[in-house]
Amino acid sequence: MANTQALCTSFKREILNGIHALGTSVVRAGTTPDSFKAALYLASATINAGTTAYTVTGEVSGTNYSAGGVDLTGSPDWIAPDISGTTAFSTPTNSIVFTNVTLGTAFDAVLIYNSTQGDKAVSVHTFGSQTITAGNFTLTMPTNDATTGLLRIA
Amino acid sequence: MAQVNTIHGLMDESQLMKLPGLVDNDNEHTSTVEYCLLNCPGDAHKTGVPDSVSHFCNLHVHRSAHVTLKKAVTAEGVAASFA
Repeated sequence: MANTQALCTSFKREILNGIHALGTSVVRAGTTPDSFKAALYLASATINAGTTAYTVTGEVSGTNYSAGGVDLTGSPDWIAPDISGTTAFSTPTNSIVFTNVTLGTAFDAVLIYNSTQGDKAVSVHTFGSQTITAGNFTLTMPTNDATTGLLRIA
Repeated sequence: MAQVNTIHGLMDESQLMKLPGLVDNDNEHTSTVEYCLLNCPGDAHKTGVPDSVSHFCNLHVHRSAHVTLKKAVTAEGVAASFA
């Protein structure tokens, strides 16, 4: 047998489960998963890898859209992190739906953020520019696996 | 006939012109449905050229979109060597 240098695959999943604290962490009352939200951003906004938390700057506004967006609706919000090969992955449990909204200014991004932990940013996902009028905007999740899961640590 | 929620309230689909759309690329699979009033005077109907990248006709009375994300965000995990 021989030793192999690697970032342990189990560590990648444990990061998603909030197990390891290499720096200052948070006090947790228990093991309950955090709650997350999704907010939409105008095509003119600047939401990217440098985004650290939810911001109202550049967020869409319109009929039946509340600032901050919508709650992720799963129980829990994310499918339990899993590993396949050397990749850890997870995906929101349910589609994200903005119901009966009118968003007349073009938007093209969604920010998923952790509303339990000070609205800290998780991920930004972009798509073709849209407007919505008296209708629904639905974001359906990809298949949760090591190839297409929404969040992956390879 | 189905009812459609519009900026004018619920309308019978027979009173509307339905404009479905579909985008399928590496990033997403998106289906859209846009409704205009019958005999909508919008330029897009005359020219066939969308008024915007975000919708077909500026005068639409309903628009919904269903986006299926394909491209994930991936972080590469690395255990580097000591100097």
